[in-house]
Amino acid sequence: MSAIGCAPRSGGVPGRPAHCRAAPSAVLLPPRRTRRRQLHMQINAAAVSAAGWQGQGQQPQQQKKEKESMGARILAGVLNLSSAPYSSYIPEPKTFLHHASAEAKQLWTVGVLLVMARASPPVRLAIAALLLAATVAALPARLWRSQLARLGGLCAVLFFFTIIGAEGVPPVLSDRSLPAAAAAAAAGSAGGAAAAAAGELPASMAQLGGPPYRYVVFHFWFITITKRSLNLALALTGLTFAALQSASLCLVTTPPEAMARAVGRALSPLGLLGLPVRELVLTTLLALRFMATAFEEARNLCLGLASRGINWRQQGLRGTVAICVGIASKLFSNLMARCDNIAVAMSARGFQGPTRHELRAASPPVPAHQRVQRLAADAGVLLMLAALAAAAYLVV
Amino acid sequence: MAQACTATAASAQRQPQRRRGISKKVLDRASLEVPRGSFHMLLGANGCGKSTLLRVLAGLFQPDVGQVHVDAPCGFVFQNPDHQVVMPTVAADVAFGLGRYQLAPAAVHAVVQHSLAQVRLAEYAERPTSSLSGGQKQRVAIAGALAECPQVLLLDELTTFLDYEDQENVLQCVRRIVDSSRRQQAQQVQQQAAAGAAGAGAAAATAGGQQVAHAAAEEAGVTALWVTHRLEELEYADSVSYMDGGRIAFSGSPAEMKAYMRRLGAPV
Repeated sequence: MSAIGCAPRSGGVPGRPAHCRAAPSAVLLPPRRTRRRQLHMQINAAAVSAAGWQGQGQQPQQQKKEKESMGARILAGVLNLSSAPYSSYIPEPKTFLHHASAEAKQLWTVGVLLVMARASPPVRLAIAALLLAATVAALPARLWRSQLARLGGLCAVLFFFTIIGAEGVPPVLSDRSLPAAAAAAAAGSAGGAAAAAAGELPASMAQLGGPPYRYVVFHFWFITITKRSLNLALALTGLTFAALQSASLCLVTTPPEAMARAVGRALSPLGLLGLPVRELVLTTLLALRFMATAFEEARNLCLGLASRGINWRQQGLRGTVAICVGIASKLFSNLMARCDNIAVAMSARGFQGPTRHELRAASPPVPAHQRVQRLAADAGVLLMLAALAAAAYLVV
Repeated sequence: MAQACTATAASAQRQPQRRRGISKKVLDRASLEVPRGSFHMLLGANGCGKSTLLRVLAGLFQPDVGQVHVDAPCGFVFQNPDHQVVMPTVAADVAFGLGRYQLAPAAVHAVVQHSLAQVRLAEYAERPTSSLSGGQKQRVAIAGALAECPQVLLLDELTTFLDYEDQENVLQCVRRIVDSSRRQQAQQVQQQAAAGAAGAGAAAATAGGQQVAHAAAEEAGVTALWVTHRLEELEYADSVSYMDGGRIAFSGSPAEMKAYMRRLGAPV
């Protein structure tokens, strides 16, 4: 390979030939500290393999040992993420959601959130199942698997802590029992009334012929799960899942500029009241562009970190936190520098401010059959939303 | 041949340095003339002032003293495509520069498709820019500059961040753009000369044809000014200038430049 072929990409890691894959810091360690050097090399090799270079002669056991270090695990987690950022637009393969207009999808997203907030637990589960089915149908398997696995993990954690936390940890309250003297006086007068009431009232709801009811669903030691905590956990998890997944579906199946234009059209009445709609649309569009930029910058910094072969165990917690803070500040400064450069490029391309610059639609004129397809997809999306709203109203 | 851009910048100082209270002379009596319709390369070591001169030509920096003339419109492509690509999808980014013109949606679509076809990325119109390789992003940036039908393309070390294959692709792409604009210009000249011959007598037609040809030579398609520090890229150029210490030290054909570099001791 020529020297030019080895040139690094932007912010990336320079390519290394096969014979120089061992981390140099490992070689520089003194020979006396054999055990530490061995561990150091293991961590270096795993960090390098996380950066995309498969180390030579790596033993699975060594890799397992290396994963005990939290810093290396976090780093490997970031580097193992897909190079496409979460919720970025995917034009292919085209599904029915791609044909629906951005306005219909935005309405669907808001509608799903409202219905999810007001619905009963069975309808919430049905909405989550519908979103799952739409995700599986609209996205390629390599994307929906990782997306749903991460989102499922987040929702599971939320559900678990809410269900055991809502009732399991009782709040500290002031003592409501009467003072001893007052309790003795009250006991005399209330005793007769209580005996009379006990004779009249049934022992449970079952004696009245009503359905069996248990407020406490499960109790063990300090963990108490009640109907209330179950409902709360379901509502919180359902809302989180619906908010993230429906927004993700919307972004994945709609070009960002179509999304920004739809936001602009929705906000246009507010323009009469002096709201800077064009600025908001441009900001939305740049924010969608910068999602990918921020992701890429973070990934590049992590690649740079992995290529240094840091011994995370040697760093300890304080060292790991210091490195993370350093990386975070570097990320912000890099992003600011990028913003500056992009602003210069925008000026060089004739941008003179959002009021004097029209964001042009580069999409081709839509033929008649595609317009029919779009109408059908919009109708389908809105019908689904109406069905969900009706179900939420009927199933109490 | 007429010049697409001429610059005589006696002194230009970098703005950021001045902002910090430091003043450094970057250009020193730099004088450059680029023939219209040519692929001109500006060679020089790192820090010799190539990029500053290019920014002066683009109007991004103002020289303290000197004159600059560049045919309009003029497109600028930056070294790092990540700084140039502004919009989230390819077609939207190519159309970004058209935002200052009053154009119908069909016209915008046609221009974008034509520009993407010129850089051989027509099928990438809907792709998110974040999913492209470095070379593809660089070509999208070139397409964005081409969408405004520029007379001059100012290209600032486009191959710095690219691997060998992408470098070749980008260089060939620019070479193709210059050549195809030349061909189009030659066809137009022939058509106009033929029209002139059909409309007038033979003697008058010859004179008229010469006038048309002269007028066409004045507008000889796209001129590309390519800044680089890589000698191996010389084979793509029509003409070359060498910059050293903020001034143009030598201008000539690629063969003459190689001879000059050999005299300087470079292994060419």
